[in-house]
Amino acid sequence: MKKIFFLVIAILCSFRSFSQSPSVVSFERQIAISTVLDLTKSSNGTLYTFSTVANFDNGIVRDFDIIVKSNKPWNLTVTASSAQFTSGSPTLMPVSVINIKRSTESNYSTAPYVISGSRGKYTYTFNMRANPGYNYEPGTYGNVDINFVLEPQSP
Amino acid sequence: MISNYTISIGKIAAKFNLHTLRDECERKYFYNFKVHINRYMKKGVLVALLILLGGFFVANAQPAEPAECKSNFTPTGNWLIDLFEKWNSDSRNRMEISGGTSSFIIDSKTMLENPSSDANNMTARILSRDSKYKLYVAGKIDFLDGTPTTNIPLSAFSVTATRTTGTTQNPSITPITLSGTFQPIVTTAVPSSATAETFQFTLNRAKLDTYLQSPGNYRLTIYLCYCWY
Repeated sequence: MKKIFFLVIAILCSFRSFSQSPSVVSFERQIAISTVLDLTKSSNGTLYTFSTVANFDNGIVRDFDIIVKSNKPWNLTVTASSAQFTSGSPTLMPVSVINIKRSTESNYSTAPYVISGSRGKYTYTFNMRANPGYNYEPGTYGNVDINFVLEPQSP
Repeated sequence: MISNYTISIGKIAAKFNLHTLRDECERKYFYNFKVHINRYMKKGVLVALLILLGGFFVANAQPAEPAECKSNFTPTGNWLIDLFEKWNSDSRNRMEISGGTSSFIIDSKTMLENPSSDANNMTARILSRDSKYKLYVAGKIDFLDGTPTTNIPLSAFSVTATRTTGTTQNPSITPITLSGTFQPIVTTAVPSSATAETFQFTLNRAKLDTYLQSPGNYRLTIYLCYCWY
């Protein structure tokens, strides 16, 4: 038994020697990649001016691009900084008059609006529509931020 | 509102390995087994040891050497000189390597989307008075953090060589994009003179702007093969 054992070891060592002769050496380098998420958005203007009947009938739609770069699975959340636009008018305008969707989607959504993706690089075209209809006094309504937040998904 | 989210992971020191494989195999495994064989000589233990030994061979797999390398060269002493072994002035055929400790730290979008290089004194010193020779390089990438991911492609790395000392006439030096098989990076048409040749290697990393590799630590192993042909 002992002889067999040593014979097997010797044969294996021989294989090692023949198949990997000592003329090969190696350098090693460590490569450390950190979590990287990046979000860029093209401009689509901040002022929606309603001056024609068609504007009131159909709303105003603006397009913009979002580029997401992430090496972790991610969530992009679109939220509004407050529930209502403020103005000098006694009638408050809810932020729900602002709708959003990706150009590939058929239906608009209201904030919060969330999309998710896996790691990679993505470009999306978004449509943002303001559609208050005839329900509000003439005037300027504002002081609402639309926030776009890119975060890694929870493990 | 645009959110730019970045987490930095600390630097991990690179390792430097130099193996004389035959010696290692004989010393570490054969000798140790011989000492302890009486204690563990049971059939089941023997089978387990053989499985572990087989696993060692598989885990340490490296690219096959090029076919054109002569298998019958008989150098004086080991081809590879241990870091602590003195360079022997009367040797005729030798190779030793040395390297620094830097790592590629990729912690921003800018670094992912731009190439970088690492000279870091990766050098090979060669004396080959009995034959013309070639140096081959190959690579391997491992993900060290256990989570399945899209690996960094080996083709993202290339190696260039520069001769810094030596007088051998016109060695041919070719930049190499790393792959899993050995490719010739230095070719000499004649044996070296009595003066050793020293080559410095620069490692270049292409941009990694697909964002498909998950965060974590990867290990790039660069194999260097010294070959008589």
